[in-house]
Amino acid sequence: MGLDYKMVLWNKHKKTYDKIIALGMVLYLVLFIALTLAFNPETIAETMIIRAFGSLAVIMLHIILVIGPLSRLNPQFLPILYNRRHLGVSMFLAALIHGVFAIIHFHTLGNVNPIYAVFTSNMDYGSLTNFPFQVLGFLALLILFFMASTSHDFFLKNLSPNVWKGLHMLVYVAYALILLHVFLGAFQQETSIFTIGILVLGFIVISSLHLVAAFKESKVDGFRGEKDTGGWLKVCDVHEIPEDRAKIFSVGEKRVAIFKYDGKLSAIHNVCKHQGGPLGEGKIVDGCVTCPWHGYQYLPHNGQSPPPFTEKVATYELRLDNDIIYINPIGLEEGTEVEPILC
Amino acid sequence: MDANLRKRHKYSWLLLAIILPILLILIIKDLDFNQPENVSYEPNGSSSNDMVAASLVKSKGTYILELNIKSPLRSASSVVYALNMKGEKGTKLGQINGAGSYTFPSEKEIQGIIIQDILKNQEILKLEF
Repeated sequence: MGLDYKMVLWNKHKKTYDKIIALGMVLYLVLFIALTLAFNPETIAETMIIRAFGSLAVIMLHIILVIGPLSRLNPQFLPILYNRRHLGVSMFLAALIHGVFAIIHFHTLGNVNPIYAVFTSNMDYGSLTNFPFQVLGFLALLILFFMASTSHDFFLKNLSPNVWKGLHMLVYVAYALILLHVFLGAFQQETSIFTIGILVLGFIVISSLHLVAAFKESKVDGFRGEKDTGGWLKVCDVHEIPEDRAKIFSVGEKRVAIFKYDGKLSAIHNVCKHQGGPLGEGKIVDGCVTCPWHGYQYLPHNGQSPPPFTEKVATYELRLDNDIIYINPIGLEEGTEVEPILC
Repeated sequence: MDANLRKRHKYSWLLLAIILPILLILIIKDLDFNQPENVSYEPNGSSSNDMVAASLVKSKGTYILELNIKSPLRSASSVVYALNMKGEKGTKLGQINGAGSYTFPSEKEIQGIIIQDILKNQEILKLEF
């Protein structure tokens, strides 16, 4: 809901979130260095930096990847979704420090370009166990760089939320590359069952959460309500919707959120114009539907953002018969005023 | 997200959930997790001074010289040689570039080491086990 672009938009909540991220990163690094010095004092500074920032980036990536499904499965996790982009950029910076130090440490003393050396120092591309793991990390770093550099709202607006979100799903490819990078890297130097266990556990948790959330969403997408003679779709009993909240239904290929507020009902398209957040999972705040992802707001009776903002979503006509809500499946133009029905 | 993105998301994770475990199993199956337990290291002598600590261990029939260079040797090119049974300069084991830990394999048992600056042809230090 920004009127213009700024390098980074910070508000009070984002500042708190960022402080927690920075503090968490520093605490982890200090703890890692202290434990390394206590248990492996012969480790040289370069190795310590490479391992500390590498493991930090992997842990942060795991946190980033569980936030999405956790928020879809339980709205209590929505606050940590709020500033996930800053967490992602911070994770990229940790991965970048790891990558740069690794390239300097392992590849700058030769007589070839260090980047070229990353791809050619181990040519065992035909082996699974001895595969050149640094190449996988390098490719993952390129993806993370692309994502961090296009994370700003400028790219979101100009690429469209759909294209932007689709491109940023490349994080799953980066995750697969990083998982293999860490597996191979750890094994080619020291075969550690502990490392395997942690990574396997992380993979099981992340993939299970994503799949459970995806199948839950599929159920909503598969909803096919019965139509009355006028072509209106029967959706639910009015008492199923809590006050100042919504219920989400699929109408054809689209999702619609029906909100109940101040004794009235209104229906709007469920997808936020900002990043495609699920408006129906938000609530009415100050008379406006508030997106749970980043707080974008829309008036429930016309789908328009309150002035001076200009975002608009489609609206839908509703009818109430004996406490049963019916919806006209043909959506109206974005921002069209629809008289709320009384309930 | 719209329905298409949700579908793409679901199929991405289904694909990852199938492919990654297969790859990880194929990687893991060639690894020998018992290796550290099976390897026994028999100490075969050690010696040290202010700058260098050297020890010789025997593992699976091979001798391994472990060298810990505590401070830089102030030499442009330091080469490590084994001391033979007569206490004289024998086989070349390898080169050292600065402070840090080094390991050099040796086919025969050695009696100590000599580190030489091969450019100046000077002996930097000699350690006998």
